[in-house]
Amino acid sequence: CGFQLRGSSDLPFETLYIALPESSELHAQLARTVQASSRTRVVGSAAEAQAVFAVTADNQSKNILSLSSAGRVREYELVRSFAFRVHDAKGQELVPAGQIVLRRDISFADDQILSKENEEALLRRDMQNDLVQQLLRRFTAAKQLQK
Amino acid sequence: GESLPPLRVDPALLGAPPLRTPTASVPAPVGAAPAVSVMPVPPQPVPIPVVAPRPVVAPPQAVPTEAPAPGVVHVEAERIEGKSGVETVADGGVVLKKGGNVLMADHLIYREAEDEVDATGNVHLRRDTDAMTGPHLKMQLEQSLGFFETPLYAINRPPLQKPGQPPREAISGQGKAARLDFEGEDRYRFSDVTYSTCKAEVDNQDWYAKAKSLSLDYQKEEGDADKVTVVFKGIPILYSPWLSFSLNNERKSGFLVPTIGGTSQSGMEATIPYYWNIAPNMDATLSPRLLSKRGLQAVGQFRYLGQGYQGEVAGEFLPQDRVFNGDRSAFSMLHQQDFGRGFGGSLNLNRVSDDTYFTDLSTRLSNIAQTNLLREGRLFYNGGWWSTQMMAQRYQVLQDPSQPPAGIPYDRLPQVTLSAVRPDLPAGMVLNLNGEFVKFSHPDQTLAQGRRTTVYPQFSLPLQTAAFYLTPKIGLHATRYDLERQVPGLDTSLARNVPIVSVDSGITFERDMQLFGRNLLNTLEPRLYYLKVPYRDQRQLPLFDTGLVDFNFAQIFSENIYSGGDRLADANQLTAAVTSRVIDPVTGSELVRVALGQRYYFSDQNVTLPGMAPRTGHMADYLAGMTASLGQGFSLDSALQYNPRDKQMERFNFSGRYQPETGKLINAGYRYTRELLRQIDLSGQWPVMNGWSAVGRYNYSFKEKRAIESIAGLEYNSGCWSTRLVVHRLATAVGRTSSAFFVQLELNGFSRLGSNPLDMLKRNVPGYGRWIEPAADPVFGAQ
Repeated sequence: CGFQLRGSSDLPFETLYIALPESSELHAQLARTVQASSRTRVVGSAAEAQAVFAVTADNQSKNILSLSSAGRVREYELVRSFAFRVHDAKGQELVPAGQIVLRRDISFADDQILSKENEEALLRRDMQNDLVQQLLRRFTAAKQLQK
Repeated sequence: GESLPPLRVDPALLGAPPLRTPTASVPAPVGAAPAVSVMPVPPQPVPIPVVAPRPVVAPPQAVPTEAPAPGVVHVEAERIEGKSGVETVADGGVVLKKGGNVLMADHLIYREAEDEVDATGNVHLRRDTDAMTGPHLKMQLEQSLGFFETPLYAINRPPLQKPGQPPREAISGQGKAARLDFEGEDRYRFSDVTYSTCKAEVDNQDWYAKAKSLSLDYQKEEGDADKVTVVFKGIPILYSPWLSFSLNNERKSGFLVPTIGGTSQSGMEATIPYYWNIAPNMDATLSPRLLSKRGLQAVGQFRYLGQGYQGEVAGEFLPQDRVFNGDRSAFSMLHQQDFGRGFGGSLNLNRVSDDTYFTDLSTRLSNIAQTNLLREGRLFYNGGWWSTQMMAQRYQVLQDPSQPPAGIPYDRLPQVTLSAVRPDLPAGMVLNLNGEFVKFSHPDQTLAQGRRTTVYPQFSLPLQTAAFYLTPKIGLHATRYDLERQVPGLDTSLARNVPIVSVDSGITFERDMQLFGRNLLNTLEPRLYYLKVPYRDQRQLPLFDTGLVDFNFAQIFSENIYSGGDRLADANQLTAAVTSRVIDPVTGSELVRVALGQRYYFSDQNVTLPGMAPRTGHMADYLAGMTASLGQGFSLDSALQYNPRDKQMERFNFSGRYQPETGKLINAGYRYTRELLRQIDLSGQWPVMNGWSAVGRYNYSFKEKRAIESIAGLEYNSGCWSTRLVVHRLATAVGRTSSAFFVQLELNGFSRLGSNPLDMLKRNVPGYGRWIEPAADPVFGAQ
């Protein structure tokens, strides 16, 4: 049916600076994933990097999806809307600027708020893993386009 | 409360800073004296260059190619006479051009020494992109000093374009004034003036604002108006003794649009917000809100933003609520701080005076539907390979008087967590370490409380190629409880140590595919996950923060079916899933994702929550999910959970959206959870006819046979004003509903009047877009 094992792929830059606070979990996770799955190195300053990864929007929201007949929340939708660009020192884009929207549903009950808080954290982590994978796929696509 | 966006001021009210380049076509004010068309063309135009001998303003070095040379005056007319260098008198179809000015009149005197024109009879002045007509103009052209008697004017200045924002159209405003004084370059003062964005003739406009005086200063980029009345369809609807506004979109202190509305709980209401622009990084809004049944409520909000920190403080106070018989108040505060070097912190505090505060006083679903109000402070450090966080947390529980009392969650005072990853151990080993210490306390003296400490080190050996990965992992989950108020006869000091073994593996296949004439990339990603967790009797352990997790794709690849640390489910199970994606090879973005998942249990379940029956049988539910962005505004999202043992659907959700363009939108959703939920949710927005557009939401529960939330609205846009009528109805408790109505009047390019249903529509109709986005933000309306 035409499926083949995925071939190895590189990113369109050899060094990357991630313009996010070092205290952010996304910074740590993206750095780990980039270094584990490609030959690209993550560096500590924009000056020494071939590419700068910048977040232009990162909005997390929690929308009510459904209510019980008593007007209490039955389900929430977790949404993360993430926009980024990857550019070189001259501001030239190395990866097309893009937006990634991730959604997860979570059921809710007021008397389980602590366990639902933990569960929400699990889903947020799942969304962030998904986000990092999608980012990497976009970086790779930009490299393949260069070829 | 919801954050108020920065106050934006409409530069197009009377224009952005003037363009120095003359524009080719400037629309004449509609309804103005038809000075241009009726004026006879001079049979033999005799251009007489009148050279100003001593220009007051030094002419610039570079002379534009098309525009007449600065300082040079051209006059055309049927008859021209006068003394050269002193005075020029022109009659009949006079056209005078100087710099960016083009002046037409029946009769004109130009005094060269003063650089002054005195024009009478069908005077028409065009200054750059502004145009005005009237019976008499006297003005020094270069210095821009003088006056225009009873002018009709039209101003058409493009708003400032900000980088990164979509270009905005110019709004042309027009009106009439008893007098216009030119007070120097870029300074106008109108007396007894009207202003409107309506294109109709000046005396036939649907709405206009009139002011005793209006001053515009394009150098300071400020405007001031005195004694302002807004008249809509002949009826005065708003009065302000003064207004001050910015001409360059900067925030400025001043009153915001008063809001009007009504709710079933509080009667009619009106709010007059005042916006205080304290500093470039700080602002506040203070709003008295009058509720006809209850009294006067004070509402305030303060926001700040700095290098590494930001926050918002909001408070509400209603003294002596006449329905409730007492004082009522609410407070919230959110602060986020980045201390640098990996350190950060946040504070999130919320408090209301009583249980029914939101259901009585709020019109916001996210408040009304809320039972637990968070109070929490966090400090954290992220050192790259390890991070730690300290948190103190407590909830205020709002009890619904019509419901059985809601359970009160445990306080976590404090919780300390630690997380570390070392991916660089010998032989490619990776160490993950999670640790947690929590002190749980509870006001109910019959419930156990105490300290829980967990350490969970895990070693894994990830083997990875581009197409394939295999990750065996082994860990030891160790927990210790030190309890107070434990059930008599049970130990107060308890421990639980559980080894956890898992193997996660996956392969990625790819192929090129053609779909709808596009070259796309298609992946196929099977994944297998084996998990072994031995059984430990945990019936003595209290339940502080633990519950059953939703069965979904995140959960089937996690180690525990419970969230929280009080229960570790025994497991001997294999989970299989396959994901297929369709990817746009140009951008790498995901267009379609389809996933299927299933789990096989090799043994029965032993660890349960109190009152829950253990699972039996070997097959878990099937999971399937799909998301797709199909282009042309179509998107679909669906998920299901099917129980093969009882042959029944446990959960099924479907939602679709069609949004071919802004203002045209249909959302349809169906949500089903067996025994709990069966609802449809329809929402949308669509143009109907002649400027009318319908908007609405209908959320119906088949289980209770009752509408949970319904919104019906109509929008009308005439071009220079628009109106929205919205009725909102919400189930707040069993057999109880709350309803509200909103009427909103928006004068395009000027302001929005009435309570703000836009907020509500945006929240309730996903994708809702204003049918016609104004070219500029409203003058004193929060966007």
